[in-house]
Amino acid sequence: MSRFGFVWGRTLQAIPVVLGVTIISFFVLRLIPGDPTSVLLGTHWTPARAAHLRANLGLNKPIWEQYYLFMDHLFHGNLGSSIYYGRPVSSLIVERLPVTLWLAAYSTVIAIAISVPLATISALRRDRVVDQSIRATFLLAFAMPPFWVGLVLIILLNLHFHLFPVAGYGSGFLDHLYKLFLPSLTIALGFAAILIRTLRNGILGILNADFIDTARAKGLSRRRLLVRHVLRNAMLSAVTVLGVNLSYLIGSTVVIENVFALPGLGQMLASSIFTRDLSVVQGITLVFGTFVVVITLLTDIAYAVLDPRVAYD
Amino acid sequence: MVRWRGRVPFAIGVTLVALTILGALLAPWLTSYDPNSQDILHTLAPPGSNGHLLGTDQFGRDVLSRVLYAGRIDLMIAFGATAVCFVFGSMVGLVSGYFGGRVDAVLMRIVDVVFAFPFIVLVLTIIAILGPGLRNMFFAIWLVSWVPYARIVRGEVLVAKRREYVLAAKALGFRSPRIMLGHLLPNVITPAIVFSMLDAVNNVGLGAALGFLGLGVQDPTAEWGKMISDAQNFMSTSWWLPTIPGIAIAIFGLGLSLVGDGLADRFRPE
Amino acid sequence: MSQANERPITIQEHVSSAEEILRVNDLGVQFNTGPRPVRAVEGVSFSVRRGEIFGIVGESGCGKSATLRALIGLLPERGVQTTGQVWFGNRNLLDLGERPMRQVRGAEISMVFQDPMTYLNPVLRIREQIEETLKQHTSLGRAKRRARAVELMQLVGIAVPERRLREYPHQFSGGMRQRVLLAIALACSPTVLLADEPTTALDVTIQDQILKLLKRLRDELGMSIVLVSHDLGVIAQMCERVAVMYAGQIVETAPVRQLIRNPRHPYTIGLLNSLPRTDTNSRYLDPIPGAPPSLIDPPTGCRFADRCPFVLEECRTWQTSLLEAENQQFSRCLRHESLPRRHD
Repeated sequence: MSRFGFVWGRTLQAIPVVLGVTIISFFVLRLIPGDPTSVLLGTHWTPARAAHLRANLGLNKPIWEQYYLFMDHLFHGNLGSSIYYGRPVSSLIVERLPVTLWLAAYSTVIAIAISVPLATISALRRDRVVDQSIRATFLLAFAMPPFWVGLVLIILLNLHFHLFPVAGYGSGFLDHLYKLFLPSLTIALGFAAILIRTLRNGILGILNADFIDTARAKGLSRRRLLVRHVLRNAMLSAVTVLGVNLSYLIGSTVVIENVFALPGLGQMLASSIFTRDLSVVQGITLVFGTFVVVITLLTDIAYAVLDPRVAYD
Repeated sequence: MVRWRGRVPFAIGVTLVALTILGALLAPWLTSYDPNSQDILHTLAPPGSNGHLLGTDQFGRDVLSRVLYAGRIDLMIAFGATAVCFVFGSMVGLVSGYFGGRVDAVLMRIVDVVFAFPFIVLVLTIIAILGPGLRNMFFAIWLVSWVPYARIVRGEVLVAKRREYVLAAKALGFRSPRIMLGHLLPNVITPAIVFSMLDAVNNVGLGAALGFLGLGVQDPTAEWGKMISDAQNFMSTSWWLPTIPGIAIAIFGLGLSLVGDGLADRFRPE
Repeated sequence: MSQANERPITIQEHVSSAEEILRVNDLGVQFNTGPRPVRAVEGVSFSVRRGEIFGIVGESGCGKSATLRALIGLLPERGVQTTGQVWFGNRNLLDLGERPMRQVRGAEISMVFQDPMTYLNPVLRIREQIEETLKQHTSLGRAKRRARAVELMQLVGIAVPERRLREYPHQFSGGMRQRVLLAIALACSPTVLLADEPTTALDVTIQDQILKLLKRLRDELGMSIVLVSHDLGVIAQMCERVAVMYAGQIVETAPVRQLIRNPRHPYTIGLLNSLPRTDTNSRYLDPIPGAPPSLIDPPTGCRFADRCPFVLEECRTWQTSLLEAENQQFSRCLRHESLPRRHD
């Protein structure tokens, strides 16, 4: 089996999961206790609109027909309408998705930038003061809920020192970088706590590996040994760790968007729960689920590209 | 020497958790104020003033008592929500891993799909359907959070059921439930126990996050996350309002993490 | 153990008159990692001549691997104490700082290890792993390095070297991987090759190939080899001289033929007697009873005393040292003269 075969195989595996995601999202609107239309239409309820909605969603039909209708709508880009915003859900999602994506990507970059050097130092100076303090600090960071960290950062860096802004998303690339720094840092700190621990263990394992003995016996300089042998292999475990913990990262964006008032999917999700705008909730759930599956798939593919052993299982 | 070093953090963790539990349980004796009684004459008082050890909030409610009583809620979340998921998820994983077959295949599909969602998104979705509130939050966590336990225990069972002691028990004619409960369970449960500590931390964080979003406990009940959320508007003037509940969360969360780490070290020596 | 008459006499003579390349003097290694220190290697002294294959034989845990690693400073950095001297040319390797030591490793003294799968980096191509040594120690340009890599692959007997250089370790079989490890070790034409159980992890037939390869390389390149093994057969097949290690010490050292024909230490006698024989009808193996002593608190006196069939009281208090038994044969036994000769 070549590498392409592996990629193809993994992609096929992902499809049932995506289907499962759609099924769960589908059930969001079907599990509402009582009459769905009164909840969905809220204050806009009229018998005419209710009848229209019932027909649209096929609420009188058997469940698999409803699902079929749902998927049919989905393929045509129709996710229903928001009662609060009065617009199609899909357009709302398209509008807000970039913010969340930005936040997720930015946080990942910062998290990696923090974790890789710290984990390496921690592993190289195992059990010494540096190592213990790094681990202790991030153990604390893990225990503190992200929204609290966010608030603390706001207090410190915005209210006291006026270093970074706290609201709004800004326009333009550099402006995004500036305005999204605090929220991304907040998420990154929590994420780094997990990353550092796992990376450190991975690097320790590599340091003890036999092929490092060979490399030392070759008389390689410390730097060459570290970069070519240790880090090359550590990258593999880093990719895996990222993939596994991805949904945690994405989950963090939901809360942080609310702390920093960023116009992203997470903030819309929270407000839509208050306004009982369930079409929006359904849409966002679908998007998040699919997003995680896709990114996990990409991570697996990246791993396959990096590890020459994979295709030859 | 390594063992000795490992015991200190574990002991600290146990102490912190114990402190939190004691504080919450002994709340009525530790403070004379009712956590919900308002005192409009003494709103936003800083710590140490007028007999309020930790100050008051914008309604004049005593912060110390609110923090302690809030501890009860968060402890309930940490232990109540986690315990149910732990038991249910482990049982499911045990049965599924032991018997395999179609049951197992179905379970793995469910696991894959549940894991495809960020945990908080699932919980929020369920709350969207059921409505906000503490009880619904528990339902939401129970519905979703058992899955990691099932996966962990199933994985361990798959490995363990080929081991000699299981084959020996089978050869002796023991029936399945006895094998599962008596022989397999003690051996496969340890990773689940370690995980439960971290899960408890996450659940407290989740409860606090939901409280922060206003979707968890409702007014006037005290909960750490909600206290922080309520304090947002007063952040710049009354630093103690968001900070102190946060410290409470941190202490409890840190304690649980240290205990979890200690257990992990003990059960799996490097 | 049968090729006694196959080796040409000329090499024997050549070796015995050659200069001393490596001299180990009173080497000691102590591990301070546990609650109490472990003296894994004690008072080890031997020398290796140019072009010689010198063997170190002993059971697991006798300290032979630690000895080998101590020679080029490959022991863990923390918790390990090395004493003694390792003279290579006019330098004491144990005195060298890490930087100068790195210049010796891989260029003048190389090492190959036991399990070729785990000792190769799985994510790097073979070509990179060979050329790395060249990059580190020579100033050859890329083309020259490539050419040298091809040359080395041919030297160790790997066909179609250009294509195989681009492959990864998992694409090679066990024997091939060991050849690759050899190619890496030989890249800079070292004077001494340290081989730690190089064939133990391989099939018997492959083992033979690799050993023959090692001999051929020694003949063609004139390098010395220090060969560590627990297998007396391998030692007998390959080495000119051998040191027998037990419980961290050398208990006997001699030219190989002499050792086998006339062992002068009870442990060596026991070892030789315990080998399975095809020439008698005996159905029983004859192992040495008992187990090696703990190295945390090594016994004073002879460490083999508890298992020795010839033990005397004074053996337990005697401050052991290597005594000259015959020409070029040394034994750490008080009674080496009165030990029975082998019935062969």
